[in-house]
Amino acid sequence: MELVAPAGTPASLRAALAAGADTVYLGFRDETNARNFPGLNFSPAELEEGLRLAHREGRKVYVAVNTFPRAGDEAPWRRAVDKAASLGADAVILSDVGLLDYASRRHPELRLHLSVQAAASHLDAIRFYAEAFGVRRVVLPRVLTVEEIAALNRQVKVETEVFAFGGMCPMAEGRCSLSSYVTGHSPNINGVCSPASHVRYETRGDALVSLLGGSVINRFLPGEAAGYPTLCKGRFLASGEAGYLFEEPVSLNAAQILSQLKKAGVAALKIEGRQRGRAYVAEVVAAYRRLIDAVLSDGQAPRETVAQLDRLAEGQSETTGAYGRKWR
Amino acid sequence: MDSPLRDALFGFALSALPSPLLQFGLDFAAAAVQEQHPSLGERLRPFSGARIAIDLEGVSRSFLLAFSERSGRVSLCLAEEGEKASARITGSLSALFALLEGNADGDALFFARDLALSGDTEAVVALRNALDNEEIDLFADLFAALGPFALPARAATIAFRALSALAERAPSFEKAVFPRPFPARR
Repeated sequence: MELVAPAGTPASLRAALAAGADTVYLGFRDETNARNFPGLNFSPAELEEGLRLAHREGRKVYVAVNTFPRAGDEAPWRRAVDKAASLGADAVILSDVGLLDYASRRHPELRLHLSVQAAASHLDAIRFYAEAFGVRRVVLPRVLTVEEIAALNRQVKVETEVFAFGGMCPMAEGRCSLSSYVTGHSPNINGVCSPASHVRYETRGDALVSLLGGSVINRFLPGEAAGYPTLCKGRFLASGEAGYLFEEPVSLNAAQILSQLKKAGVAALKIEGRQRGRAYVAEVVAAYRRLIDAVLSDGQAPRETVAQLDRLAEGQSETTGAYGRKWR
Repeated sequence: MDSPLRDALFGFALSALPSPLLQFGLDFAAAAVQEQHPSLGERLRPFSGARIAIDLEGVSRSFLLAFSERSGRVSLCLAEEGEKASARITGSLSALFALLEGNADGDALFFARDLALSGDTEAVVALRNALDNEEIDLFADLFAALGPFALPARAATIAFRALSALAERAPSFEKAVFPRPFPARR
């Protein structure tokens, strides 16, 4: 199984390679990718240097151009694909059918991967993308059980990549508008869920309060681990009780089920977190390198390696998400 | 590197040095880091004009990090009483050092409540990402700026790091040498 690591900066790319990633995925410093965070991402020159470093060591770099072009303004997204192709990216990760069509016609040699943002979760959708655009790999949305992934892999001819660790989108990705309602900025077009420009933290009494677009969405008491300021992990009052309606602040960690994912025919494991620091990238990638190598050799995940990732997790809590339970 | 002795020394200096001397040190450190990391300002350019206050636990003075619109450079200075800032970061010296040198992940520090922020979140996130990309080694950057004094300073630091490792194994050592909280000088 290929280990696909995130990089939000050139320093993170170097950290990922040093920690044993087979592949690094990244995006340009604009809204053409779904981690359009302030101070993050790559200039074309930085991508060129990253590709040189990765290829020198026999590794790969995938470029995410995985937001959806604005109506009537597809040029920035097309330029991003052209730039990735001209610099020699090993694949581009796309979501939009128009952009997939453009990339497949304009750059027939360029390997196309389908982003999780396309939310292709069933056979007909995956077949369509493969047949219409020559997509070679599909990043599966985080809504499928391991059994469902295994069943899909028995029927599709393309490779599948699944998320192994990191932040969790509990919604159907690419179709979630929760953040858009509150901030007016779409994760799917502008490339950022809960944009930092609309996030505020305040201390009220002894509690940490997080606000999104001026609305309080969570309140953490002293000693309680905090989470991201996203609505899907907000705490809501319902029937007089405050609680998490959609998902708790928690990170995905598939370390315990790697052998099942391998048996299910998964080609690649993806670490989420291009917005995280290089310390996170180095630690998570090194841990997963050990886990994958162990699983590929004797099927056992080292227990201590699994435990050490807890403190990097959102809310310092982990889950196997939909892999172990039917999506709600 | 997690170093209680380094944190104690810096905490003492930041609290106890006379303001003009401390400001000289802050100017020197800011210039030294930017000399070694000229691209730092590039990721911060969209946020020029931002002023981020830094409150260190156990240090009664506040500091102000400002991104200059005119020069494109970052300055670090002592904050005046009641001085306005667009954002505020609060944390321990060890958390801030770890963040500066990329030894800890900012989100993980936030989840663990080791780091708190308020105000303009965007400027803080940009600063975190810009610093993380620079692979800063504060001591190395300071040495590089010392010119002919770099060699003796490096030798002193090797001795200091050895002492730090010793202090880490015996935390009472650090406490005995630098009891907290540090008194503030104005």
